[in-house]
Amino acid sequence: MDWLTDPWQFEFMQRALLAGALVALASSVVGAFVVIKGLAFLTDAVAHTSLAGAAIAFLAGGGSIAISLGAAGAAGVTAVGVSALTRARLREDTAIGILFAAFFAFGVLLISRARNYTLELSSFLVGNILTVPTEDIIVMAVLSIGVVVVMAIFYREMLFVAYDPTMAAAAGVPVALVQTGLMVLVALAAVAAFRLVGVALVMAMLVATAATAALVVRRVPLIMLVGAVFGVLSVIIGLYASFHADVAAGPAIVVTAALFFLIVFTLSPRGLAPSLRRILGS
Amino acid sequence: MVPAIEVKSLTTGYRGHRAIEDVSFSLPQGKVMGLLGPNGSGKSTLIKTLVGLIEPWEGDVCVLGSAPRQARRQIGYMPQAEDIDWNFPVTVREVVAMGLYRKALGLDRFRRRSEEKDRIMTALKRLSVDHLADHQAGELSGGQQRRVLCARALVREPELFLLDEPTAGLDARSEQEMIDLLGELASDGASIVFCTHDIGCAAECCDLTLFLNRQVVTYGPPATTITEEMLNRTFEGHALVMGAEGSRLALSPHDHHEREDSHRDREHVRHNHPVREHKGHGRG
Repeated sequence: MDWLTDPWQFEFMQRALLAGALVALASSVVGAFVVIKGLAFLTDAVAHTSLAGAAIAFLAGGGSIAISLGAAGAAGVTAVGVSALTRARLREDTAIGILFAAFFAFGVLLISRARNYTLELSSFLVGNILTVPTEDIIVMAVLSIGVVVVMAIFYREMLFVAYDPTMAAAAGVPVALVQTGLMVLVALAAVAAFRLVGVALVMAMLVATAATAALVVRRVPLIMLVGAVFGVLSVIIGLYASFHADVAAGPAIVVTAALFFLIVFTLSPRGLAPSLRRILGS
Repeated sequence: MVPAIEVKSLTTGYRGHRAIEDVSFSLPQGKVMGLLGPNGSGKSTLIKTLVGLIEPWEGDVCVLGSAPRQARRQIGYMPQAEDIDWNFPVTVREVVAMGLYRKALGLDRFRRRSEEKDRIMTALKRLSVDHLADHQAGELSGGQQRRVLCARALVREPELFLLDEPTAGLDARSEQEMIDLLGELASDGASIVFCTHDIGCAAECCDLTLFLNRQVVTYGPPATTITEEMLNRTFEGHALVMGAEGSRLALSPHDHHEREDSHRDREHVRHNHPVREHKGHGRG
């Protein structure tokens, strides 16, 4: 049984597990709304645009806290920008498409000025949780906890606005503010997740676990909770895979989360099972 | 007593589109008012202006003696069921709980209000859907979904109900129950405005009917307003009124947007669809 306990004797594994679990919780809490409201594309855009902010901070010689702040800044600008462009009656996917490509290109362009371009780029793109310094872990933890706390406080407004914005406005909820707030929470969760699994895989972290949970339970708080369980399990299994098979931790976590989804989708009464039964039965 | 609603020379719309023009009327408290008109006649726009969701461009709107936004605590609003995302994972109980939303800051947000639970169940019972409290809202039938939305308005215990198509898509029995409920609420002192395509229903349960086609065509008790001339002016020739053994049968078979449809179709509807079976034309 040593292979089960061995990994956790190392401090970098313990740190990675703690950070990963917090990120999984935050991802699942905002991920529930991302999945229900179909915001996956926005999430991906926010994650990618955070690269521009991270790159600016990185090139300016900033430390890990500065890089995270830069990423959060860029992601926040995208979230608010998309919200504003949508309100100006531009189709949401068009608005996202424009900001997404522009910021991501700008980020890569900046990083391409760095001396060891490919190494830096790949660390941003797929993350490397096992080697990040302690400050980064602290930033991830603070962001994750912050996202969960804000969501807990404003859950009622978030649910009301997501479900029925017209009635919410009639009842006096500041709908535009709440919608923008949700996008900012998505942005912050994305930034928290980006050190864990990298810019390219953030979307999987926010979407996969909540989508898996949505197949199992049908209430928003339960989707958040069950999603967090799937998320933490993915982090644990991913870290084992990384430790024993010597593969990159971020992709291992994401592949695990995707496998969970595939298995649940296949077995779920709302997933593949009934269609398979129909095909085999006929 | 201030009127429930006082509207003076109201002109408004949305996205630069003028939806209603120079609308004036006054509704005394405790009365049931039916708002009738074809699709695109501005019924929903008028309701949304009364809730404070749309600002007047010109004219004045006064609800229970104050501006609509100030009166929102006293208003129970029910949007059209078509405006709701029924795939959203919420239970009936959660939907009705939204009706109890009120702004609260600080620790007050987390205070569990035990009477809230009771109020939710009372509202659900009144609409005969209490046995569905823990069901997914999306799994209910169309009629049950409308009852849930109505319960959400009811749970606020408002003085004024603004209901957008509460009877659309209901079968005859559910519709009668809804009409009875509106009557009960009115006799408890509430004022009610509801949109409908159903002239028969309006004739039966309204104290006042307002015929709207971007402007007020006529306003008054059903006995004086539901006439062939007014129906024709409101529905622009698409509502057909026939004298049938002393009682009046009215048809509004065609959507405003389907005006181009052939005369043959209209004939078909006239012969085959009595008014009670012809509802749920969608957005108004």
